[in-house]
Amino acid sequence: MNEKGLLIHKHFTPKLYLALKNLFIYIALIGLWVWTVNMYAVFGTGWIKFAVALMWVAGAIAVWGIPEEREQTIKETKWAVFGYVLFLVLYRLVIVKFSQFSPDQVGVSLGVNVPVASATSALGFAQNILMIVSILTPVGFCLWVGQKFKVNQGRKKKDEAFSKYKGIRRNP
Amino acid sequence: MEFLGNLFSSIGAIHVNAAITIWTFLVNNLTMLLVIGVVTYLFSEEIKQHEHEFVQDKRRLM
Repeated sequence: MNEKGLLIHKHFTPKLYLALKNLFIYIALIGLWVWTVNMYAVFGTGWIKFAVALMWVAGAIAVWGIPEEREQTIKETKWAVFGYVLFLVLYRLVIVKFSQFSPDQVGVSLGVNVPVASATSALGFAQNILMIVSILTPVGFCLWVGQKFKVNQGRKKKDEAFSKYKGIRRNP
Repeated sequence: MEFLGNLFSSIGAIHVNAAITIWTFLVNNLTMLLVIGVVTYLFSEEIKQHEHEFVQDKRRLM
């Protein structure tokens, strides 16, 4: 354990420290989610709010359903939600920044003649990427949770799954 | 009697209003409440996991 960790543990017991740390992470994630939903206005309340809730619920179902991978699934769910929301925040900044440049300025920066239509469509393409990623990330996460059930033999524990295979397979 | 009738009706109205307010709040914030419930479950599972790790650490030390 490093020096900082030792200092923290002088004031908190390790259990309390871990509990407070986790609580802070969850509150921060919910706060970031609410902030992003408000930032995205109608798209936020219409889709992002629902999408993040779907990710949390899918993660919780996996945690409940697959006892063998409980800790790992919780961590992965938290990281998935954090990554998704952080992408939405940062990519919005990128789009706002890029929309400031006119097609002429883009042409000058590239040193070539950029037609107005292609410069405008490039910005539209950047916006489309945002929409596509914002829809496909939660869907992909749910699919990934679904395959976890397949890989882990539903709600079976390790011993149960192996005993099933032993019963079916004919060993030479 | 009239007084009692008025009293009961006003009490009833208060309760109906309260029920409607609570119902509206629940419907409007359903997603948030669901997420808070789910996150609480995940948090409790994480705490249980840590408890288990601490027990394992103690066993290892003993």
